[in-house]
Amino acid sequence: MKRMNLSLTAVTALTCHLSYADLVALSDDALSQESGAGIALALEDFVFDVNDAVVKVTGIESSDTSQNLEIAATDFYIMGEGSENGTVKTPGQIGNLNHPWLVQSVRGDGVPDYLENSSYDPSLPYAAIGDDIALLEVATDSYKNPVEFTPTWGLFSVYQGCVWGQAGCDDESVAVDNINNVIEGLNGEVDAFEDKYLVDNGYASIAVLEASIEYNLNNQVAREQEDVDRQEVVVDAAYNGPDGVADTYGDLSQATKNVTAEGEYPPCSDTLFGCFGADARYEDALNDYYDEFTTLQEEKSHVAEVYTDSTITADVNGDGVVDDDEQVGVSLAVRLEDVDRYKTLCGVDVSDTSCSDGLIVTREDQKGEIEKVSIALGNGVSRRDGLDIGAKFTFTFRDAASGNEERTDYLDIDMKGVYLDGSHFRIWSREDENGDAELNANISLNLYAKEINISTCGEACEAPGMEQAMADSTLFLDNFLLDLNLGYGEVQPLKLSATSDGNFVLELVAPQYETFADGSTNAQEVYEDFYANAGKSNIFIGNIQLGTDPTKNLGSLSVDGLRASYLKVTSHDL
Amino acid sequence: MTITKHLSTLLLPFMALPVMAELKPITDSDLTEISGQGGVYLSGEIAINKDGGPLWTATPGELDDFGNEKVYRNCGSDESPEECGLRFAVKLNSNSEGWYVLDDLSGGFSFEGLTLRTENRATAIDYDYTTDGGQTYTPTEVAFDKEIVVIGLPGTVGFNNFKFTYAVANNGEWGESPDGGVTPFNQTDLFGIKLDGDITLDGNLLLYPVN
Repeated sequence: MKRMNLSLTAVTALTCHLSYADLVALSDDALSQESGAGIALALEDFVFDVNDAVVKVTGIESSDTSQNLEIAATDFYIMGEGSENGTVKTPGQIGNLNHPWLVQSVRGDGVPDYLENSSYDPSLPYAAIGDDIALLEVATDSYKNPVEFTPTWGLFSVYQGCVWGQAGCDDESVAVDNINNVIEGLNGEVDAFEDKYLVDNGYASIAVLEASIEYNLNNQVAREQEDVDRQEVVVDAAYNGPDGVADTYGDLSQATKNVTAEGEYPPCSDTLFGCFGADARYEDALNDYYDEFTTLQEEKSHVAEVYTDSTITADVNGDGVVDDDEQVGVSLAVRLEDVDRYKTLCGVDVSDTSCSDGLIVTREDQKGEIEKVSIALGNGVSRRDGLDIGAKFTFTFRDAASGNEERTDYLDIDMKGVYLDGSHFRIWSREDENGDAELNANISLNLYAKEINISTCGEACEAPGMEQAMADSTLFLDNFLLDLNLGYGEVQPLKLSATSDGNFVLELVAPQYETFADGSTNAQEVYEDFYANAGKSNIFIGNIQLGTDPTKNLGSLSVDGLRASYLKVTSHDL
Repeated sequence: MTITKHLSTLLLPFMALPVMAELKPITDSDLTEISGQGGVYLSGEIAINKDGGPLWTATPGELDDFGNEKVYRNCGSDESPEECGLRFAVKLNSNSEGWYVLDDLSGGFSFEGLTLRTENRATAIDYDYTTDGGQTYTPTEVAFDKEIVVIGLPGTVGFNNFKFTYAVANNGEWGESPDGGVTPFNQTDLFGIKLDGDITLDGNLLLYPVN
């Protein structure tokens, strides 16, 4: 009876009906086999639409507090692909039973041990997080199938150059051809580089070429640099030393100081009779300083000349000896730039001539994935539908005092065919150097959208017959792929905190290395591991079109392999 | 310890009855026949601090239920004072000096027709289905056969002046100095959100445990 009373209290605000449809008993046997470490979620036939409800964002002021900004979001929707900008309520699927979203608590797979041969395996899913840690993870649906796995599909789409399934975009071989052309171009660059140095200029190997740069920097450049350094001391003494500019300026009369800034000539310099006394000593010091400064500029130009001189000498034939007539053939500046590019293409280890690392290998790997997608599409496999997400924002600036509207801006964003699979957000707690528990996080976000259309025209273009004006004021982005990775386990955690004056801080700390008693560090090992295993961030936009005028096509954008070794974002109250 | 038991405990309070003219207690013996394994249909309205809360007053000098003077705090404007809504503050790091705050949370939302039931799904599409060790994949309907919890979303959720402010502050408690008076209380309101009107929220949320 007690229980009944309780339930009556609880339901006073709720009207309850029993629903008899589809009632199935939970099977104890089936469920007892689950340990319940995590929960799988999927949203089936999902439709979210705020319709005519208004979401207002308030409290944002201009920096001089004279204006308030009010943001109203209307027509915010999340629904299935094909919703015609949210007007047709199309059911969307977010995750599915075999590939659900997960909220789970999992153990880390262990941190790298930089000093001993550890069993650290960077390919494990929770690598770089200590196995003494239970982290909380929210993960979106994940796929092995390259057609369904968004980063691979996004890459395929970028090389395909059009949105698969739209009119005229049905030849799956285009992407493979395009990436082959790219790889061919890169290999061509390597061939041209090798011809230029190994054939035309007689360098024994790329390693010898790199050594010649080192040799020139340590000898010819260093010699000229010594002169610069020496002259810098002289210039400094002419200004700050005894009887220098600063010293003699201090002796000037206040009347002269009032009309002469330090470093400027006094008025008497321009007179027929010239300067006397303290004024003359100051004028001499200035003359002396400017003479020495001119000499310094000359010394610096000598350093610059070494960089552009192709007749300086170094070991070119690889015999380990620098002969007097062994000229480098290509200037130091050009060699630096070329070797840098070569390392980008083929990896930093120039003694390995097989080009086994670097951009070419990355593109070759990508080609393998793209080919898998291409073959599957050729066999008639299709990709699951994505989501349509969009909202209209109205930004109204009001005068803070009178409340009058001063300006109104519009932003209408529609994203079509959006996928989020393969993303995760992980948080865990770890003690900092003071023994205080800190929240650490890693974020990986994969977002692919077939189309993103951003319009700024607002209500004026929503009237019937204004479709062309609307299209002309819209920014069209096709094949948008964002692959954002922030943090590498405990080597580089993302930290969230707030300051005592009430501002938030988001910090991606620099990879942590140790300094030992003898002064040595393991920075080399830490950074090698970081650059080998930390996730990279990529942004690709296949096509950027402003309005409908074909001359306003900005082509494609790609930011490839971005990795932040340090990032700090702080808010400031203005 | 199974989900079944959890669910029955969870759902019992809602196993009332179809609405009747008169509420009658159920006898213990009747109650034991209800297993709580079925589904429920919920409609509800939830209001948070709709008319202001017990801690703060928008006009100075007002007393709470115990006769103590409420703290003066105005979340409206000078012309139309408004009591503040609920305040929720968290500190993410034990050494952190700052707090993240959801402030002035107030208003209401209502929904009709949230359903909760369990069902057995016999099959589901496996997008990673492969018969050649990962060379080719063909999305295929495979046996799933698991009990899952299905939450049927209500279709329409009405918001009635539902609002909150997101802020960062140097103390969790509003108006209190973090160190006993040395540093004054400081809070930076980053932005506020206000929701008014009916929104569509349709579909089924499927839930099941994983190892």
